[in-house]
Amino acid sequence: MSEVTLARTRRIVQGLFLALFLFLFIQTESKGTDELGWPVRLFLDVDPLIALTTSLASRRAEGLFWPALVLAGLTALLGRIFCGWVCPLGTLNNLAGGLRTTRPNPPGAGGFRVKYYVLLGLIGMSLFGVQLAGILDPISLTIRSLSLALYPAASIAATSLFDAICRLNLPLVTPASEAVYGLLQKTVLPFRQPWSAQGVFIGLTFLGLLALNLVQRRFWCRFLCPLGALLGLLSRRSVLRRSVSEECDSCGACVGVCQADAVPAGKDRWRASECLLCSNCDDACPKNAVSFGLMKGRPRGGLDLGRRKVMASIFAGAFAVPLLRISPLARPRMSDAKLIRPPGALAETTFLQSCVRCGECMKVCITGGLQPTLLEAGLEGLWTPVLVPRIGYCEFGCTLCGQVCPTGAIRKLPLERKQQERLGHAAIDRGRCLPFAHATPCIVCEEICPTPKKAIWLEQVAVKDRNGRPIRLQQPHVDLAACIGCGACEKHCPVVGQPAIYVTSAGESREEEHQILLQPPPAAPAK
Amino acid sequence: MKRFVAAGDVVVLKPNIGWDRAPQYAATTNPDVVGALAKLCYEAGAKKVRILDNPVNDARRCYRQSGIADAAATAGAEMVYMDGRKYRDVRLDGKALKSWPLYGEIFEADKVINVPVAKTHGLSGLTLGMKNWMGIMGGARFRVHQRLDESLVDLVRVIRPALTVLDAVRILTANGPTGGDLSDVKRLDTVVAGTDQVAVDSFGATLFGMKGSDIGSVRLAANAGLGVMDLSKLQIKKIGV
Amino acid sequence: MKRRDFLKWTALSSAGLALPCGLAALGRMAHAARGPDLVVVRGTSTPQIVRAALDALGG
Repeated sequence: MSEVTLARTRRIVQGLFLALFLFLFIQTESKGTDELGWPVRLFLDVDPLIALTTSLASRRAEGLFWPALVLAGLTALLGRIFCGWVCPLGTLNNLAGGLRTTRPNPPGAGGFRVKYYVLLGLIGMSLFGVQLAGILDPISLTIRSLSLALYPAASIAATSLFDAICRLNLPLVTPASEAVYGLLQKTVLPFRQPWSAQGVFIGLTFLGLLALNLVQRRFWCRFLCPLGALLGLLSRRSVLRRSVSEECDSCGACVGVCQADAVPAGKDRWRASECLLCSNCDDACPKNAVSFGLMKGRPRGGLDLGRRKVMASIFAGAFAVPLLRISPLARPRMSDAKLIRPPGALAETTFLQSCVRCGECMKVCITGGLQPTLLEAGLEGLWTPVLVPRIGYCEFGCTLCGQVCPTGAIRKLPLERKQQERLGHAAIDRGRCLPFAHATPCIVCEEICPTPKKAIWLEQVAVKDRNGRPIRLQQPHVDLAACIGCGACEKHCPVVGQPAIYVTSAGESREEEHQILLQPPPAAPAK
Repeated sequence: MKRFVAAGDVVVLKPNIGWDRAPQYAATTNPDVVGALAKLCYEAGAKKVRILDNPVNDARRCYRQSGIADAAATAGAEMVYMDGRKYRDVRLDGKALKSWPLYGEIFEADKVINVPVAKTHGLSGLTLGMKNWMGIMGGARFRVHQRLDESLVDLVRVIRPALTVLDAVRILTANGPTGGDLSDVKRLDTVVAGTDQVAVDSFGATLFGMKGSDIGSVRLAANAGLGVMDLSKLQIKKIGV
Repeated sequence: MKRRDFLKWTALSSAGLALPCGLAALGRMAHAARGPDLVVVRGTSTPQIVRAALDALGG
């Protein structure tokens, strides 16, 4: 066998793209300025599934998605090279598949078609205004799982290990481990330990998907991946194709090594839509009869999905929309007072149609306050970002979530605009607030309030304690005209647990019907 | 600086970097003051100058946006992000605080220099040098606002800086301690330096047209014998450069 | 009290009484050498006013 096989080159390229993907993931973190310095959402930007379903669901194009068209065009020309050579989840599946030591299963009867029905169902849904493609999109899925589960878990594991060695205080070992720890903190570990409400669930789901490789290698890519299906549809007429010479004696060596279900027995029945161009078959062929090259004409092994099943999938998706909305898990629009969206988020309906739940905003959120929803926004809003101020407030000088959002569900606002964007308003619980309820001085909410003219003001009052002794102190009040609902006050309120000052979404800029004031302050005359 | 820093010393500078604000808003210590001090420390033979604070806003942003990270880099000083493992419970046996987790480096360093900025504050009236020690507190430090002045005095009893340099190059006269409006900022082009932290704060109050005795922590600290509040008893040298 | 004891006692106590004053004087001398209690420096160049303040405090 030759030293530099195509498959070996492919593995190196896969490794490089996975490294790039992870590098960009790590860089999705503030370094103290309001720029990240890297195109961290690159993989999401080139994803045609996200582009297609988002523009269908939200009926917005807004000059988005050009990079996705590039990948779509490349796929139409060259086939599913993205799946075989680039996709980070595909590469992770390859790595996990290496754990399967037994012989590969023979290709299934037609299981590969399932992913097309999944895709069509998602497109059907998005036609009727529900965008759930991001739940299953491999790029979105991988970033979300890393952000919310695997990366936090890895960070905890590393920190606990180094903390333990540090506490043991062993000669030589501890200084060395501290040096390594310091290096890791500067490079790959997060600045602040991330935590997400649904980390376990999301993480186990992801590990489960990887574990499916034990059933069949690249199970996800073969049978389930909707992006793979979309690229498969695009690649049916690609010109980079497989050909088999007369040498072939139908030994079947290629069938077993195929990473997808592209090479059923019989040399002419190669499926362009399934081929990941991994070139394993080329390497495995004992007669060296397989080759890939540019060819004209229509490939022979077509993709027959069955007209009825196609229609059924689209309708299933479409019918899912009203079902989702009448289900007990649905939420009437904007009902939840704690549904505080990130700054610059579109109005709720369009927001849900645009958000692909990739978790980029939650990864980059400087305070970790952005968390995935479970049912706060209805089943339709699963894993969309919500600000939980008790975990982290919205940092006044930061616009990073808007910068990393791949679909503009969170708009990228200039800083001056963002600083006047109301996420909601703060309200004081006088039954818990120390100066109101307990005649105890406290001004933390006022101290912390970041707006240039403080949205929390203090009133000098004289109150009495239980013995009737007069106490002079200051009681806080919220100025709705100035409050932007960033939640810094809620985060730092010393009343533990249920805070004495809290933010609700009432008054948020993005919803006209959600205003409290007759004349809400205008959004930002830019300075 | 040779009076305060000996050759080979590890010096900790504690500016106020509590907020994510640019220098011109006077919510954080002027980076030029911090940079100049770091440089003087090195000139006096310091082995290492470490600059730290436990900011309220995100530390990365505070260090960068305040300009102090850049000033430190120019001077060759090290910006230190607080390491959660380095807080230790310090017995204070004070009026308000019995013990509190404080940042260990403050006690381990050979010399500590307090570099606060002069600002207004909703509760203490002003935030000057003594209030700056809140930036080495760990734990649920926002609880101390319930008895802020006593708490600060309890801290001052155990934290004895070699020197306090109060930055009044720009002072924040309203909406402190966070600021954010340039019209609240007044330019004084002044620094106040001394070894007595109570005296420095007492003089700092006069920059705002107040007296040291108007500031609860200054009054209490002076009564506790931790420093001199009465400016007439101090030898004060005023210099124009 | 014997005369010797009286003399001893007087000498010791007067020395004792004198000592704090002597120390205070020493302290004052040292103090003057070190410079003032507080230095307030005003000027447009921030690095220069910091340096001037430190110089005035005794280098």
